[in-house]
Amino acid sequence: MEIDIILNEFASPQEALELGLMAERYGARGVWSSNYGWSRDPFFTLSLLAHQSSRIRLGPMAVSPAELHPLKMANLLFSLNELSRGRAMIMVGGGGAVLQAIGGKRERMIRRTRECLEILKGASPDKMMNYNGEIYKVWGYQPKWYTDTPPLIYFGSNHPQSRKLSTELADGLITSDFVVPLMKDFIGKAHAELQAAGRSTHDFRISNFWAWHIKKDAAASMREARRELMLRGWLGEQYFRPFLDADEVQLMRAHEQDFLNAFLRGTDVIENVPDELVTKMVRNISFVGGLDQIDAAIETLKAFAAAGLTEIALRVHDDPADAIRLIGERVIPALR
Amino acid sequence: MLGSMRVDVILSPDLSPGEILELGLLAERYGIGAVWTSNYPSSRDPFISLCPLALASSRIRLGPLVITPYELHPLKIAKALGSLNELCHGRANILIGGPTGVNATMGMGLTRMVGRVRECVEILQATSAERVLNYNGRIFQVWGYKPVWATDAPPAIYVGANKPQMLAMAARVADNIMLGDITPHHLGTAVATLDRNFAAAGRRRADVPLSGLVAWHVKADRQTAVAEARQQLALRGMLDSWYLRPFLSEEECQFVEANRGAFFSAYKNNTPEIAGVPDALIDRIIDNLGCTGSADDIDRHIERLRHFRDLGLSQVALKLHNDSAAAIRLIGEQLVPALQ
Repeated sequence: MEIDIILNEFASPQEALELGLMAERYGARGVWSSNYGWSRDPFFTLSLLAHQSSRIRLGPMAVSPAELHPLKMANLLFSLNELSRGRAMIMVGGGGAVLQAIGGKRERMIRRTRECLEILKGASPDKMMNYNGEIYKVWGYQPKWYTDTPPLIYFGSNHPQSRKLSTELADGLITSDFVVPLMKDFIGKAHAELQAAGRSTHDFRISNFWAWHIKKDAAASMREARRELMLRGWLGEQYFRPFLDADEVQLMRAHEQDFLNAFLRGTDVIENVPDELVTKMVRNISFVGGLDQIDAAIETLKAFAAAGLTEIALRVHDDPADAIRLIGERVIPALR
Repeated sequence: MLGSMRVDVILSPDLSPGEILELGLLAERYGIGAVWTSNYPSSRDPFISLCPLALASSRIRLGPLVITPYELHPLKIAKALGSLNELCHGRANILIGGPTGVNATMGMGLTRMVGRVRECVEILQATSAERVLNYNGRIFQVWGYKPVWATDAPPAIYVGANKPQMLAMAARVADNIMLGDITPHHLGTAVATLDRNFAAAGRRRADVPLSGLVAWHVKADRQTAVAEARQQLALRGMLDSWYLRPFLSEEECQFVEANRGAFFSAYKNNTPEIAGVPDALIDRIIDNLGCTGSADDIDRHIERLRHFRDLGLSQVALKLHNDSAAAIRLIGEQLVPALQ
C-alpha cells in the first residue's frame, strides 16, 4: 500500500511545492490539494509542484461536476497533466463547500458524475468528442495537445451507488473516514462489482481518506483532532457504529451542533459532550497522539493494506512539514 | 498632446505553457504591456497555461480572454483569477465577456448576457481578503467567500463590450473595457455611447482604460500574411453584419451571411481558400478588420493605431497567429516605440 498526502486548504502553490517535493523525496505516491470554499483554485495550488517535481502524482480533491462543467474540468485536468508530464490525478466528488458557496445543490449526483466520468475518460487527442448527456453536452471537443499518459480519475465513493459507478467507469475510488472493518466490507463489494463489470481488480485503485494528527506534542495532537472531529464522516452513524455503542452514537448525534461549533470556532472545546466519548471517537477514526502512537498507526495501516487498499490518503493539518517528515521517516519505510 | 498607447498581444490558443513562457518573456523585454491567452473549447486551460510565465516574469501583465460566466461560475473565476494573480504578484488580467465558442461546445444557451456579465464583474470586484462576500444576484449567488490569501494588488478586470447594452453596462461597472475587431466607425460610436453612460453614472472616461482587439497579420512576406488573414477571417466579428456594415453594402453583407460556411470551412481546414467568395470582397474585409501586410506596411498600421488612439483607445490588444515570436519582435521594435 502506498501513501498519499492531502494538503490542508490553506496551502499556497509555493507551500505545495515545498511540501510536495519533501513528500516526493520520502517516496510518497501522491499529493492532493483540498478544494474548499475559501481556498485557492486547487489546480493552481499544484501548478508549481507539477512543473518542478519528477515522480510524485498530484491532483485536486474533490471537484464536483455541479461546480465545474466536465469540459472545463477536462481542460484543467489535462493542462495539469501536461505540466506534470502525465502524473496528474483527480478525485471527482458530489459537491461540498464550493457547491454550498455558490448556492448549488447536490441534485442528480450519480447521473452528473456518470456523465462527467464519461466525458473525462472519453476525451482524446485523436477523435472528436460529441457527447449528448442528459445534463452535460460537449460538441466538437478534441484536445490535440492531450498526449501525455492520461491522468488517474477517482470518484469519491462512500455509498453503494457511487461505488458501483466507480467500478464501472473510474480508475479508482476513494472512501473517507472508513475504519478497517467498514473498509474490508466495502472493498469486497467493490471487487465483486468490478468482476461483474468485466474489469480486473488488480488495475483498480482503492484509497481511503484518513486524518493524521500525530505530533511530538500529544496534547497539541489531541486538540487538533478534537477541533476537526466534525469533519470525520460528518458524524454519520455508519462511520462510528463499528466502535461506539448505540447510546454513544445517539449522544454523538444529539450534539452535532456542539461538534460543528468547535470546528467553526477553531477550538478543541466540544461543549456538552463527555471527554471520554470524544477521546474514543478521535482515537478510532483518526491517527492521534504523540510519537508513541506511530507504531499503532502503522499496525492500522497494515490492516488497511490487508483489507485491499492500494493506497491511503493521509490528511495533514497544522504543521504539515512536520507531519510529512514523520510519515516519510517512520511510516513509509514500515509499509515497504 | 495625446498620451501613449499601451500595446498588448493575444497569443494563439494552441500554444503550450512552455511556448507561452518564452513568448511572454520576449514580449516583456520589448515593453509590451500584457500577454493574453486565448480560451478556445479544445485549448489548454488559459489560466493554468500562464503559470510558468507568471512565475518567471517580473513586469508584464498576463491573463486569459475571453472567460464567460456561462462556462464558469463567477466564484470559480474568482478563485482561478486570484490564484493566478498571487503567482504573478498582482499582475493578472482577465477579460469577461459574452458567449463564445466554449459555450457553444458546451451546448449552452445565450440568455441574459448583460446581466450575467454584470453580476460576474460585481463578484470579481467585490472579492476581498478582508471582507466576507455574500452576493445574492438574480443569476449568481456567492455565500461566505473570503480568500484571506488574496493579498496582492487586485487583478485588472476588463469587460468585453461592443454593442449598446453591453457598453452601457460596462460604463456603469467596468474598471477596464475591451472592444473587439474595431473599425474607426464603431470605435467612434462606442466612445460616444460610453461617454453618455459614463456621464449618467458619474464616471469619467479618463478613469476607465479602453482597449481594442485588433487582428495582426503583418509578416515579412505579404502573401503569407494575407493567406493567414483569409484563413482566420471567419473569426473577425464572427462575420456578423454589424461589424461589416461600416464598409460593405447591405447586399454585400447579405452575401457574406449566405456564404458564412465557406469562411468557416477555410478556418477549420486551415486554408486560405474561401470558396465562392470574390477576392475583392475578402480583401475589403481583411483591410478593415485588422492589420495585414508586409513589414513594409508598418507605417500604415502605426497610423491606423494612432487614429484609434485619437478616437479614445488607450490600449490595443493585437491578436497574433503563426510565428508569434517574429510578430512580437516586429511589434516590439517598431510599433511599441512609435506608440509611446
